[in-house]
Amino acid sequence: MKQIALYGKGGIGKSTTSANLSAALGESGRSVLQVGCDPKHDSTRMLMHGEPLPTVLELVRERGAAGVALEDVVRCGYAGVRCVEAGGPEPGIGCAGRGIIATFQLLEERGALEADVIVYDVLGDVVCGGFAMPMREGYAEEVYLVTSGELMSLYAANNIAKAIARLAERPRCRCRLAGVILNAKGMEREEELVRAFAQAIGSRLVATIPRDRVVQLAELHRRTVIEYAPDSPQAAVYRRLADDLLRNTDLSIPQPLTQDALESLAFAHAPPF
Amino acid sequence: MLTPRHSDGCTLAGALSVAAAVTDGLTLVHGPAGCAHHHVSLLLTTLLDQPGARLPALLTDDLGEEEVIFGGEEALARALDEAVGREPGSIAVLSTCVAEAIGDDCEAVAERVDGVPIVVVPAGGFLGGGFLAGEQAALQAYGALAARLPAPDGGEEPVIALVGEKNLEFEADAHAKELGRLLGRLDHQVGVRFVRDTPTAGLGLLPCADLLVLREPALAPVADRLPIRPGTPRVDGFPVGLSTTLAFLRAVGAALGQDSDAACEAEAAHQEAALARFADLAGSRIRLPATPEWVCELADALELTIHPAGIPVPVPEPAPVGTAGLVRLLARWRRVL
Repeated sequence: MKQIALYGKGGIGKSTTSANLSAALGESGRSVLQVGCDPKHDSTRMLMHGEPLPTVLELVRERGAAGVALEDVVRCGYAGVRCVEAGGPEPGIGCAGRGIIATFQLLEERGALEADVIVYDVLGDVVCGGFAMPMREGYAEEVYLVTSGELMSLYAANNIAKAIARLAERPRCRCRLAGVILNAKGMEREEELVRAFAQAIGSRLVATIPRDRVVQLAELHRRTVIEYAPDSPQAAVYRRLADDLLRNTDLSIPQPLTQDALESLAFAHAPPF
Repeated sequence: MLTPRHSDGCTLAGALSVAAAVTDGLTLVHGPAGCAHHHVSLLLTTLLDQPGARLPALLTDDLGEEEVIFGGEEALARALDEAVGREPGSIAVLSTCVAEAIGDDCEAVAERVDGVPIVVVPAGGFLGGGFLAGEQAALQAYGALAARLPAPDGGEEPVIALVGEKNLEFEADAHAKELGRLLGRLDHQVGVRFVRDTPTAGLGLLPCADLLVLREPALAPVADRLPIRPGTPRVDGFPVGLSTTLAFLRAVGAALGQDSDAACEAEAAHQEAALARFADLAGSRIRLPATPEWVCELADALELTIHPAGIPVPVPEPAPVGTAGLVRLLARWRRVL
């Protein structure tokens, strides 16, 4: 079983990448489980054709944990991908991080975390211990940082690298950095910068997902690109990503950059004014 | 690193010790039931040692994982509804570590409740400060409540407020009684005990205070923020020791603009008579765990010798208040000398 987690800045395209990755893996005949670990619970929306899933935490709240069965929270989406959404509190109240911990405990108890590949789509940044939990407790064995070439996105990726490095010091922790995925914004010298960033933290750029309008069109049709435009070059990119991730055994403990080093790196790769 | 101190405690325990002393009040612990059980158990165990102790009205909203994840404000609102239904004179909402960590806005929830005055005391122990911080936060909250209450008729006499009595102290009432006796030498009495064995309405007398008597100097920052008239005099501590008790009478007299010579003379004579009852201890050698000034003064007055090879005698902490406190202490010393 391969357990992959995608972390990155909010809005960078983790859910789109996760859903297309899961769809590509599902199409290849593998059993796939995608777990959305974000209170806004929209990770699996495209796989479910826009059908909102009842979230684990919503049901636990309504019925109590004992009243929640596996079939209540796990739904089958495109290409047989099983989909789960953790859910969480409304913005500005409660503790979403604790919600992630509670969700994983419930899924574990119900035996849900079984598949050829499990894809965890985790909230933007490791803002507290709760969001680091999938890494800490050994669920997210292979972490991919999804980033663009924007400085803020690289900041978030570097912060997550810090969390991995810290957690990797613990004897029981199996979490490692598996690579960096560039979800391109179309900036000049963007790939060069992100590749340099990946190398600087002791990892590598495993994929570049180009900016393509088909992604937005697919989302408007509530489909993954894999389903909406299966013959498109973008779908091929996601399929290649799925193959690469399946084969990837190059795992590392990252060496996160200092803020100065990160800014210098970005400056060095800035396009000329 | 910190070695836990047996003399300190949790912020919640400090806040609870104050809130539970409002006779018609109800205390609602906004947190896990375990937090509430533990501190209530501590409170009740302590109160059972006190003569005539009254069991306070207590509730908890029993926060669990669901509330931690989704926020505990709804649970607090439900518990407040129930609390209001019990028709207490006031409600104290004491938050806990969990509630503070998840950022529940207890004030906002309390503001939506009508019919019963509510005080909200942030009592998350992880915020630092221990028992005293909780005690002070609760006094502060009740001070704000006192300002909103109608002032009861305090009569013509000056209102003297005792502030911050240590409600878990075994001798708390004995100390208050002694202060009442001392104030009686100046023809005054305790007007309001802020906060001990006082109904909610009685707290409304605080803003009318003509003199504050603080339990200990550490309460000065709290007193600075109480809703009292600017310039209201205060005495920063209950009197401990022979001369300090006389100084207390002089300070009260000066604060209220009256001559205290006769009161001091009468008290000095009372002290002399009290010490005479322990004249048989003269010449004893005693060993003390600490030698604060008031103990040395007492030993001198009784012609006791403080010596490392002397008989060990107790020096309580907090120290005994007034002349009566010293008499009780000497009775304990006599048992071992």
